[in-house]
Amino acid sequence: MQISINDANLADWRSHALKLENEVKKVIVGQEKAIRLINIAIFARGHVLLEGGVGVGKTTLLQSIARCIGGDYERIEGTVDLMPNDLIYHTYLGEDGRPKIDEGPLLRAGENLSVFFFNEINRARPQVHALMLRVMAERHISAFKREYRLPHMVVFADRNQVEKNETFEIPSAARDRFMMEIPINIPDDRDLRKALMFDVKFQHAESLTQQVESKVLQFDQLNAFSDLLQSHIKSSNVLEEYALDLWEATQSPEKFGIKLDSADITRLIHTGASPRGMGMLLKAARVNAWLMNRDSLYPEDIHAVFHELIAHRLVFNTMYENRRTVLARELTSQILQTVAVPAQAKAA
Amino acid sequence: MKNLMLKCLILLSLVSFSAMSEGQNTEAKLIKIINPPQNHGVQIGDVLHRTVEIEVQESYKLSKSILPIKGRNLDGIELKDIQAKLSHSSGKNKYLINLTYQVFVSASKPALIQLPKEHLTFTADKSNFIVEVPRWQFWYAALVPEGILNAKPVMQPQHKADLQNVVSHQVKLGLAMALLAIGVLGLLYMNADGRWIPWMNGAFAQAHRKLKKLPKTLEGQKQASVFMHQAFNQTYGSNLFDYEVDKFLLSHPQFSKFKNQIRDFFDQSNAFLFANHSTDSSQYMSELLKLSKHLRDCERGA
Repeated sequence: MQISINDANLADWRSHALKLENEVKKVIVGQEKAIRLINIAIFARGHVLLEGGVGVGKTTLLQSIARCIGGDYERIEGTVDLMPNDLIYHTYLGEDGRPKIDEGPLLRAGENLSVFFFNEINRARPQVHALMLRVMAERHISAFKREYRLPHMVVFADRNQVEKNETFEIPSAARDRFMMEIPINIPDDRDLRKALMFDVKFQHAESLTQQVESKVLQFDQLNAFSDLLQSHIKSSNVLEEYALDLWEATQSPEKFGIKLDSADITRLIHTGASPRGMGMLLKAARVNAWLMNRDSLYPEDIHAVFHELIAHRLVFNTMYENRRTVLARELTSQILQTVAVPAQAKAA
Repeated sequence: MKNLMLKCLILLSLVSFSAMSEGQNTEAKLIKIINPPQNHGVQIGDVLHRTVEIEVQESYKLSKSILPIKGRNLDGIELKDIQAKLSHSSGKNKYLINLTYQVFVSASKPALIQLPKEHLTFTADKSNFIVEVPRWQFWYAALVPEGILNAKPVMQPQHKADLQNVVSHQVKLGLAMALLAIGVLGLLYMNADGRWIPWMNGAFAQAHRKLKKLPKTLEGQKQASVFMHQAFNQTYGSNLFDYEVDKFLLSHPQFSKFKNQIRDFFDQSNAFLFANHSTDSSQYMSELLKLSKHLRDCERGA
């Protein structure tokens, strides 16, 4: 689908994007940053890994988002006995008593699929991960002797990091396919907590999501608009140099004088951010710049998404892997605080 | 006998009244005599002045022909000069007579000497009278004691002049000098730019010095932005970005009065470095120079 890009068009889409945020904020409280990040991922056409405990509102959040985006919403629960074919088809006995095969959740909506929610992805086996990650990368799959295209699909996966029994850790290569890993935390604000406990409207998730205006966005135009948006936002040489420095800092933080209190920085990193990861970083940063009503990338656009884009991509040495959540947050913060822009040596 | 005594007393009274009326001439009045200020320590060669003021009836004039003669020497006291000045006032003549004497007495011991009494004659058409200026005594001091062979053992320190109390002036002078010194140091502190001056080597002071040397070109503009960002980062302790300015000002309140200028700098710097918005390099750098100077002053508490 062709859409033309001009200032009015950009402004229209921006107002829709902001409306989406406001609609979701009506039913999800205390998650402003997560909502903004999900909005960025939608317009950057990236898949999202949600990290958070049980009962923090991830499903309600995603259902609200899906309602705003329009298109079809599908979900599947990750279980230890889930097999790849469970995503593609399911069998059942028909009314006539004969076995029948129907399309599974991944194929059922066809091209209208806009949001696919994989709940507790780390409970599924690696075979399931492999299929899912392939579909995420290619956005099409062959089944029933035909090609199913899923051009508008964005995958939201949730992983429960609290429980480790009967779970399968998502390998680093698989994590890298997700644009962002967004933490969904319980709000700290006491009034919000009180509202979540005592306001009865929060006790009925289904009716809650019905309050969100549907089809705020045109899901089938998002890909085309995203491409145009990406080409519209410019970056200066200084910013490109800065992004390169940030990338290098994820690989060799010690070169920039970065230090961590609780880890030996020279031994911490096994593998830094990937080229795909850095590409996604800039893509998400451009969306942030657009949401901030600018046509140029600023460092703050990168900062807005840096941790959520980079932290899950870093591969730590084995001895630090069990503390990765804390260390990754500390490292990304230190990188942003230490890597200077404009770079002193190059510019001076 | 009683009558005789009474007659004698009346005669005596008349005689004494007559004598008194002769001594106190009613036509003249000696208003004042000003003698030399010191009546001791006078030595050979010293010049002494006497001033006499006399008031007489208008009809009387000072007879200048019988005034004491200049050059007259009486007992070693020479009349060096005599001046008379006449003035009129309420129907009377007033004379101011200056007498100048020089001492030529030679003695080896202290001696009581006198300026001689003088007689001044006033005449009218048919009468005259004399006013006597009384003598004035003083102690003559020999130049050297008699028979002295060597002056050294008897030398005495020179008589010192009385000292004026200058403590209050000294205090005022000291205060003025201290204020001047503080003022000069203050001006130096405010305006000088050397790194040797205390607290003049902070991040913004360094940036200001570097900025002054930069050319007002596009490249200079870029480097100026870099130096300012470096100064902010150094002061903040880590990278400082636009959205952290409030946090920065909270932790460094001394810069708060330039909050708007700091915000403007970040806005302009972002536009220039990241959005390639062209600006007038000369104006941009002039503003940066001003801002860096202000922030330098805040940094050093000036």
